[in-house]
Amino acid sequence: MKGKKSLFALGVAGAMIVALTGCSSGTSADTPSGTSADTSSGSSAGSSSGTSGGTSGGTDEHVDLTMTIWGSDVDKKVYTERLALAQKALPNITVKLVQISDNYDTKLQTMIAGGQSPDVIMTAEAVNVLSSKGQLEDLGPALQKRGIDPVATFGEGSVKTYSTSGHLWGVPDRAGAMVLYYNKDLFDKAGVAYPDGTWDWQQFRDAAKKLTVSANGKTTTWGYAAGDWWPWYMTWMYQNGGRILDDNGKPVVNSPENVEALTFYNDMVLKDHSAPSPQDYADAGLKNGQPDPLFAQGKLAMETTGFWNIASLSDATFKWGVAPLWHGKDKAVPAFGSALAVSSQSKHKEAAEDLVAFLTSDEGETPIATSGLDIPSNLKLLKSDTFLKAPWNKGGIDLGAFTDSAESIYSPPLVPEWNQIQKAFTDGMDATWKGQASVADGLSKVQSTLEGIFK
Amino acid sequence: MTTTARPGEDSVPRPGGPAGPPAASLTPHRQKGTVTRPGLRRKRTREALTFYAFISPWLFGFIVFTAIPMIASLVLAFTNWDSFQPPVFIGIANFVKMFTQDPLFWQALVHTLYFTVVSVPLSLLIALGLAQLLSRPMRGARFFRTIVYIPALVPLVAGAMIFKWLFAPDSGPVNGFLALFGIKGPAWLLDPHWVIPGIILLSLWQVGAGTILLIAALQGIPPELYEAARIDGASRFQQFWRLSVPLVTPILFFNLITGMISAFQVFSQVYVLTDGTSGPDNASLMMVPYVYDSAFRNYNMGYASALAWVLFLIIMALSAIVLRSSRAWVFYETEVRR
Repeated sequence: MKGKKSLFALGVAGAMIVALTGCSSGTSADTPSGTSADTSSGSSAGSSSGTSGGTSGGTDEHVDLTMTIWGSDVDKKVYTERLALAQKALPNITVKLVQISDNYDTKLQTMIAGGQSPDVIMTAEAVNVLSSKGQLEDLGPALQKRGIDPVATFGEGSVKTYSTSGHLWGVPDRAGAMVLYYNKDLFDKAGVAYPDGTWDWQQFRDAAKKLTVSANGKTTTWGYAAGDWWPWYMTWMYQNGGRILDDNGKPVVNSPENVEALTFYNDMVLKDHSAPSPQDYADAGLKNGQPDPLFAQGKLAMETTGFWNIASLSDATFKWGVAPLWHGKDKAVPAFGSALAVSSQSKHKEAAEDLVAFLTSDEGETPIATSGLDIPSNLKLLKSDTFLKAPWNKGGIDLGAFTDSAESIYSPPLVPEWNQIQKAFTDGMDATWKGQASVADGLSKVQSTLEGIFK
Repeated sequence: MTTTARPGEDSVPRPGGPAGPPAASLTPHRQKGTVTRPGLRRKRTREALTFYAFISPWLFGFIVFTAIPMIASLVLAFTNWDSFQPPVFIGIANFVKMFTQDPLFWQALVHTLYFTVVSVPLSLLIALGLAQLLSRPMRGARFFRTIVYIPALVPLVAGAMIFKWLFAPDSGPVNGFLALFGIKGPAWLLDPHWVIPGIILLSLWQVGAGTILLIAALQGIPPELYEAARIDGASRFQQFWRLSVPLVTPILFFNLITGMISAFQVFSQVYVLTDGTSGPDNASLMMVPYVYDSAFRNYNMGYASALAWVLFLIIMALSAIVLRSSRAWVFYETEVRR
């Protein structure tokens, strides 16, 4: 009797162990979001496409690749469409798409550390974290071999963003030049002419002042809004000829150009009150530098943001438009795009390169343009009616603003220490943004922090 | 006496007995030099097997998800590892850097101590006060108990989002309330001096769980003790201070230990309230967020492991001190009866 009982207990325990291990392997790093999708059943009817050899052991063989992307279900849908096109062009490659909806870089880092690196990696600001650790393939030779000239195809700014010393670590996939969104109703009310990309700093500042409305000492409508995010503050620096790191990689944050640039911007906040301060953001229930909701509520006349904002303005009750940014001494436009990279741990690099080359071709990027997901990086597609007259653009937004801005994109210093640079600005400029310290003091603080990092 | 087993060590382990291999380890000296009946030994073996079978799921989880990662992180603490390339052994350099060259470590440590030393005793006091009020029979007691407990059910991140709005400098209800008394409230989360008090207020909002335990403990005190105290002329306060409090010290002790450990590991509150910046200018930087930043923002997994181990040792040491002190102030009824 007793023996039977303990045997039963053993059995139960055993079953629990099996359940536990089964469970743990099911939720391990290879499917971090649990929303992976097999994009095709995967036929192995291979036809040799001329790119034979490589580590995949011949393209006739069937190859399974994994690709990680971030974003929402809309992103996933568009990428699934793109992979379906790839399936037709490269029938011997089957791609498993893994969508990681949040903490992308952290989860990717964990996958790679666990030896489960995806073959094709969507990447952006973290590109050189990966490249400096030897995790990415140089795609320059791969593109050359396939007869693709990166600069001619994607533009210099985009290519430079993902390159270090002549190596191309990611092929630009989504270009994402940021533009000036403006509320036409507020402009009409204030009697200010719409922006058209020709404004200089002073014209911009004057317009912002005229567009600001306040009642009882409280601002109800702001002319412009920005805050603690690099595309906002670095753009002023780059437009004024300033830089974060010089050509030798040494920090040059507190240069006179940069002090002048950020003083100009901060005066709009502290003197003109035409842009919200950190406290104004907190009072609006927003974090420092979150202008999108203000714009959507009609409380903001102008903001610099990316293509993604179009979707959130679809039910706006006011008329709005987009225009290229103003300019300083130089034209400089921030971009927030992404690239496709190939892992150096991939067992099928040749096939992965084939896939990346196809996905970034005008054909492979077409779903990005037709769905209205983002701006395609491929200049041919960007200038074509497929994008400019896309069916989703019923409101007749002037998408040319994005096309025109593509050539002025500047590349921020996407060094491996990029996160630390941003943190240094967040910490060092905190008192400055609040008006408790001068711009020069703030930038000196950032400079000394960066000097500690880039010894 | 030597050949007959006491009732307690028979085949059935006593409920609530110490965890560990029963029978076999409880009486090792007993088996030496005595002739045990073969049946008993077999029984014991079988029993031990059953025991291990039953705890194996937990044991497996502990080894795979706790023990191995802990050992790995201890090894990594002595390396320079960016999580991509192979780790490089660097001896105690991480610890040297931490204690001699890293002002952020000291800031994080001081802030964490500040948060713990203020928030834990305060939440114990508030929980005890609320429990005392809510443990009496009164109209609507259940309703109020529910209200007190609800914040403990709200996910921490959601609670923190609400607090961000409550703490807004001009439009927030907290400063609106202070303005009623003519006090100009601080900018809370934007002010380096007020951001940690703000985080402490958020943690105090969640005293419900401790309160529920204390209510149960207070209600478990036999009424005849209060009756006797009243007959002896004890005042209300004396009844509370000399009777209720000593009898709930085991629960206070439990809340103190668990509260202290979780206060040292505070993460979500800081992360959400400061948008992941530990700002303004690191004024709210705490230990676990710093471990996270080191590992996943600065890609310094070795340093993060070293930080985690220092935190672990600090928590262990303080827990040991509190455990030791408990002999002086924690009162177990059963001890007296003996």
